[in-house]
Amino acid sequence: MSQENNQRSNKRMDHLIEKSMGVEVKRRSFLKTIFAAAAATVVPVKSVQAFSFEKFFQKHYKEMTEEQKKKVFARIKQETKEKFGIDVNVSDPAPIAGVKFAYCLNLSTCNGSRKCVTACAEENNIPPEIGSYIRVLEMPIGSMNPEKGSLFYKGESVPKDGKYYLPVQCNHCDNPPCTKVCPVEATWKEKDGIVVVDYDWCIGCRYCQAACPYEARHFNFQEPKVDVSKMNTQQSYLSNRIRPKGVMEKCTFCLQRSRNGQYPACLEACPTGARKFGNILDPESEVSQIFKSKRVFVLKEELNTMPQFFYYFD
Amino acid sequence: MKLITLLMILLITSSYAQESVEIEKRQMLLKNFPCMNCHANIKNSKANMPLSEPHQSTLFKHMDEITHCYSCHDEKDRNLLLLANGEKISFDESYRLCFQCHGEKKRDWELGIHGKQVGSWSGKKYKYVCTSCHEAHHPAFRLMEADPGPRHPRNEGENQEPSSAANSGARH
Repeated sequence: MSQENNQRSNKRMDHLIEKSMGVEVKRRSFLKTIFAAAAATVVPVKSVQAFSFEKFFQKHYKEMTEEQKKKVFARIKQETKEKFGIDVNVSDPAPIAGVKFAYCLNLSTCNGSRKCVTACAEENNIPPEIGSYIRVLEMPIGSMNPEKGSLFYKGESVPKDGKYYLPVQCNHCDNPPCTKVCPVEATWKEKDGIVVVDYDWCIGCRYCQAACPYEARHFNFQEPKVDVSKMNTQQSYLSNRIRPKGVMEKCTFCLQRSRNGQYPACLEACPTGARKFGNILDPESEVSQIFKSKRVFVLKEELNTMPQFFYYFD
Repeated sequence: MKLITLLMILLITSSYAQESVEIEKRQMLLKNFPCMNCHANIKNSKANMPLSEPHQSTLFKHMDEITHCYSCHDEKDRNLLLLANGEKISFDESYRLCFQCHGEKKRDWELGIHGKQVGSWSGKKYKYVCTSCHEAHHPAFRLMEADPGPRHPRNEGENQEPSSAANSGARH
């Protein structure tokens, strides 16, 4: 009796499937496909899950202990290894006490050669979709209006007559509008003045991009395509590690270099020596000397963002 | 306690002592140095441009109406440079020659504001001299080729300015 019932229900099932799919389906083959599909969905999830589980319950970076940070660095290291097949060194140097960074740029000597742009991209593993954190504007002499500038100038021979060049990057404002709008506090200003993004905490809402008056924030619309052979393996959690898709990124004054006492990559690449970087609290540093002897200005001063990136002519 | 403070002071002073600037040495980078290898046998005191081999490519464009080779090069010992006061200096100190006239740049260079410095912002710095960026005989910067700029969203792959005016508003 029960067998008969079973058979009948099977037939009904087959009929329903045939009706909905428009194909004749054998029960056995149907079950096969179901199992295959289930296996296909379950198996890769399982292999990734061990990591994404850990990432999902990861704390906010500022609340992590040293132990937890070490675990996170190890996870990032392994993820990079799996994805790109390359061993990287992930760390995160802490802000140095008594140090506040500032940047000065001499617009009289900048010749628009975009060497800083390239150096920035190489140092920070920036995918070609984003290009670089530095954008050089070719400005007509006499104007300070960035809207008059051209970003896409051709560079066979620079500097051109009647033009000056205005490189723009993150101003690391003391009153940053970008960190205020973040709904999850994934971006903040560090003690040494560097505005950073926690890529694991960022939800990709792009509010900060809209809030930044300097267009210094960049969004990863796609999984970053980084040239593995040129990848910088000295990476830092808050700066140049490989970013996931759907997060913001920005200039960090190369904190993986600057917090270890080095100059940022853009400064070392500049062929004219227009870029100066240092500790604003040290009266002997280059930036302090510039404040004493040059007339510096900032971009969009009227917005009260208090940038820590200064320009001057001499 | 006193010992600790003493040690601390020692440590601090030593860390300050480390903070020094190394000035680039140019002499060993010169292509045809030492000059006297050839010039010991060549007695040519004429300063006619263009020069003969191997200096034929030297283009002299720096107050070229009032200065000539021996304003800066010592005529007798070609391994040395000549200051206006008659002092002879090596090529490693060539910046002193430039600073005879460029006092403002001297001040800024000594402060680390003018010119390129690499190394460490907190520690040892390596300072470039005038002639590592400016050609000695043509100090004005030459035109350079710039690296490629950002991709224009409408001219995919081409670093080109489109004809329309709205080109600065592209966000990345």
